[in-house]
Amino acid sequence: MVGEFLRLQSVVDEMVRQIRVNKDKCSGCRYCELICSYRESLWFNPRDSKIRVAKYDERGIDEPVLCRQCATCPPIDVCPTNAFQRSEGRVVRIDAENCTSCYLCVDACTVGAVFRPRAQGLPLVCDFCHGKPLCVEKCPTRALTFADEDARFGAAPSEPEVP
Amino acid sequence: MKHYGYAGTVLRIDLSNKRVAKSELEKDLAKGFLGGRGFNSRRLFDEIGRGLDPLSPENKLMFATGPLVGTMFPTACRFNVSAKSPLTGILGDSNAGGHFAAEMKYAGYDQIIIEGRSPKPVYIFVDDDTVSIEDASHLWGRNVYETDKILRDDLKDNTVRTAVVGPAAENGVKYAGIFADLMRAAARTGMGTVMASKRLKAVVIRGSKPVEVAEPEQFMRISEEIEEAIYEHPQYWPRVKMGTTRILTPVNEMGLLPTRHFTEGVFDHASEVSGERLAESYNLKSRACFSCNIPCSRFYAVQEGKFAGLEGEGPEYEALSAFTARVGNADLGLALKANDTVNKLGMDALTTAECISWSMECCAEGWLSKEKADGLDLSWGNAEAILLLIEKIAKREGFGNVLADGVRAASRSLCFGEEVAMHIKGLEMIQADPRGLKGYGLGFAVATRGGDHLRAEPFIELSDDPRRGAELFSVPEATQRLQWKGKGKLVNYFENWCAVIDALEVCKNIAENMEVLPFAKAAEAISAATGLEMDAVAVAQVGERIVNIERSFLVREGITRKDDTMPTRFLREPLRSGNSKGSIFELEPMLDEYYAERGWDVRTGVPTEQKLKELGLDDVAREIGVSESRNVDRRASCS
Repeated sequence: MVGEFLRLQSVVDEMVRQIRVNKDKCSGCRYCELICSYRESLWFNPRDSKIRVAKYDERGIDEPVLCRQCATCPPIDVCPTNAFQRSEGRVVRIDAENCTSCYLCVDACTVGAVFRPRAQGLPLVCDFCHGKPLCVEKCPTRALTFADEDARFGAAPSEPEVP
Repeated sequence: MKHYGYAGTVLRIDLSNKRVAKSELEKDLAKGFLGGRGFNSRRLFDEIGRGLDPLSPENKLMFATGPLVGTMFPTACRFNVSAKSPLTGILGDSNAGGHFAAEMKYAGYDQIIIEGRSPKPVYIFVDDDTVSIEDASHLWGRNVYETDKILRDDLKDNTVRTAVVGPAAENGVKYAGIFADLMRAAARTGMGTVMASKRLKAVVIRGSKPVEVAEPEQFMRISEEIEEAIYEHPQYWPRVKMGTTRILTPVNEMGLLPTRHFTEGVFDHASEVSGERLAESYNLKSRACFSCNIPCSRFYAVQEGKFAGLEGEGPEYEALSAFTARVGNADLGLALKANDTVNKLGMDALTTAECISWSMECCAEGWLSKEKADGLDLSWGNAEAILLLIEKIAKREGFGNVLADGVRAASRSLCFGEEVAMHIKGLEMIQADPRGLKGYGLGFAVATRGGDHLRAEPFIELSDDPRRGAELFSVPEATQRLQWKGKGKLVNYFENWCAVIDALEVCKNIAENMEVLPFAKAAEAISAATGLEMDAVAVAQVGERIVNIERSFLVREGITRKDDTMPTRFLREPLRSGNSKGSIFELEPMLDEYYAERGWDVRTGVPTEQKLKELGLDDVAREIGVSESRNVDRRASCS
C-alpha cells in the first residue's frame, strides 16, 4: 500500500489541504503516529512521527498535534537560513541543504507541531504525505478529517443504533 | 544479533545492590514461549523454587511484553506482570493494556526482571539504555494519580509511561495491583504487593528506538486484514459504546449475574446499573489503548448527585457488576465512586468487592457481628459502609486489616464463612455464576492463577449454539452453556488460545471474543513480524506449553486435582431463580474430561512425563518428579 502510494505521489498533490482535528473524537490510540513513522522508514517509532498525540489521562484528553498550515508561520520567520519555507499554495517544507539543525523552529511553532528528531537531523514537520495523509486515512474515530472535504476516503460512517 | 519484532534485550535489576544487567533475549525462549506471559511463566518456573515466601526479597517481579507490541498490529499493547503471588501462594500473574508496554519496547526491552529489595523507597527510571534507581521517599504514601503526576513533574516530561503502586500495596494489602497510565490495572493476584515489598513505588519508561518487523509489507497486509475484520464485526459498535459493560444485561437475563454475593443470579436493579445506562448517563468520550482501533474504554463524568464532580475512565464489566449486583447496590454513582477509590488506592476491584460482599453475607447470616465489623452497618448495598470499608482495607485498619489478606485468609482467621468464601486457590472469583456457564466454570476451577476467567475465556459458550460445538469439537454440548459435556475440550482449546494471546500481548477482545485472530492468523503475523517460521499447529503448541509449565509450577507447590474445585455453593445449591434455575455445577465429570484432553494424569491432575516431553519440557518433567523412575506423585505426601 505504502509503496504504491509513494510511486503515485506527484507535485500536484502538494497543494495545501488543511486537516481538521477533533480532539473530542480522538481516542488516543496513536495509529497516526505509527503510520507516520512507518511511511517514512518502514518501522514503527512514535518519536519519528510528524504528528503526536498529547495525552492527559486524568482529564481524558487526547489531542493530535500537527502542522495546522497557519496563515502566519513563526518558524518561517525565525529560520536563520531560510530553510523553513513555504511557496504560494503549498505546504511548509524544510530545505535539507540549508537547514543547520538549530531547532529554532521547534520553539517558535505556536502549536508545537515542529518536533525535534531523535538524533541530529532535520526537524520533523508534517508534509501532508504529499496530499494523501495516511493519518487521516487510518484514524479509527475520524478525529482527523479534511477541512475542505470529508469524503476523500469515504464519508465518516454514521454510528448505527446499537440494538 | 538483529531482532525483528522483539526488542532483543532482557533487563535485570537487583534492588538490593542496585545492580543492573542486560542480556540478549534467548532464541529458544522466543521460539518456545513467544513473549509476555510465556516468558514470565518459563522464568518463574526456572527461578522461583518451591516454598519461597512471596514477600521475601528472593521473589522476582517480571514485566514482559510481546513481539507484536510497538507495531501497528491492532490491540498489540499489553504486558504481563508476574511473580509468586502473596495472595494465593501460587503463580501470580496479571495483564494490562495502555501505553506502557509499547514504551518498554521502544526503550529496547522485552522483559524486565526486578529482584531483591531496596533498603528505602525507590523508583526505576528506564530511559532507553540508561537505567537509574531513584529516590521515591516523596512518593511513598501517595495514591496512584498523585504518584503519576509527581513523576511527570519531576522528570519534566509528560510523554513518559508509568506503572505505579498505591498506598494499599505499601500497606501490604495482599491484592494490590500495578497501575499503568493511571487506570490500566494489572490488579489480580497481588503483583502490586510484591512490587511494594521490594520498596519499589514505580517503574517509569521512556523509549525512542524503533520496533522493526521482518517483512514490513506482508506484516502491514495482515494487520490491515485484522483491522478491517474488526471494523466489520457486529460487536464493534456495542464495544465502542459500552466496552465490556455491555454484557451486564445479557448475563443478568441468563440468570447468572452474581447478586448479593452469589446468593442469586438475577439482580432486580440491573437496568439501573447496566452498560447501557452508564453509556447514556455518564459517558463523555471513547478512549483506546495503544495501537487499538476499538476505543472501548469510556471517560465518564458524574454531573449530579452525591458524587458530582467525579470523573475518570471505565469501569469495565467486572468492577461495575462487582460494585453493584455483588454488593447489592443499585446506585451507579456509588459504583463509579467505589471503583475510582479502589483504583486510586491501588487494589484489585474484584477481590475488594468479594471481601466486602462476603462480609455482608456473613452479616446477613448472623455470623459477623456489628462490633467485629468496627460498628459498620453491613446490610446489602449500604453506600457508606462500602466506601469506608474500602479505605479501611487499604489502610489495614480494624476490620479492614482482616479483609486485607483476601477472603480465604479472612474466613480462616475469623473461623466462619469459609464455605461461602468465593475463591478458587485463594483468588477471589469473578462476576459470572459458574452454574449456568459451565465452560467458564471449568475454566475457573483449573485456571493456573486461581478463580479467574481470563485463563480460558470460552466466550463462544455465550452463543449457546450447539452447531459451534459440533463444528469445533464434534460435541454439540460443548458450546451449550447448561451442558457439562465437551467442556474439557472447550476449555483445553481456549486455554491454549488465551496463553498464545497473552504471550503475543494482544487483547483478548479480538481473539476469544470477536474471533478475528485464530491460531493460523496469529502464526502469519508472528512469522511476518519476527521472521520465525511458525504455523498454526506450532503456535497452538506454544499455548499448550505455557499452560503446562504453569501447571507444573502449581504442582511443584503442592497443587493437585483436589485443589481444582470451587465453593460448595456451586456444587450443591441449585440456582433459585432466573433462566438458569435449578442448575448446579458438575465438577468431577468435567475435570475427568479436561485432564484426559490435556494428557494429564486423570487421578491427580498432574502433567504426565509423556505430555511434557512432547512439548519439549523434559527438564520440567524431571523437576516436578514425573520423570522415568521417579514417576510418583511427590505431592501426595504433603497434601
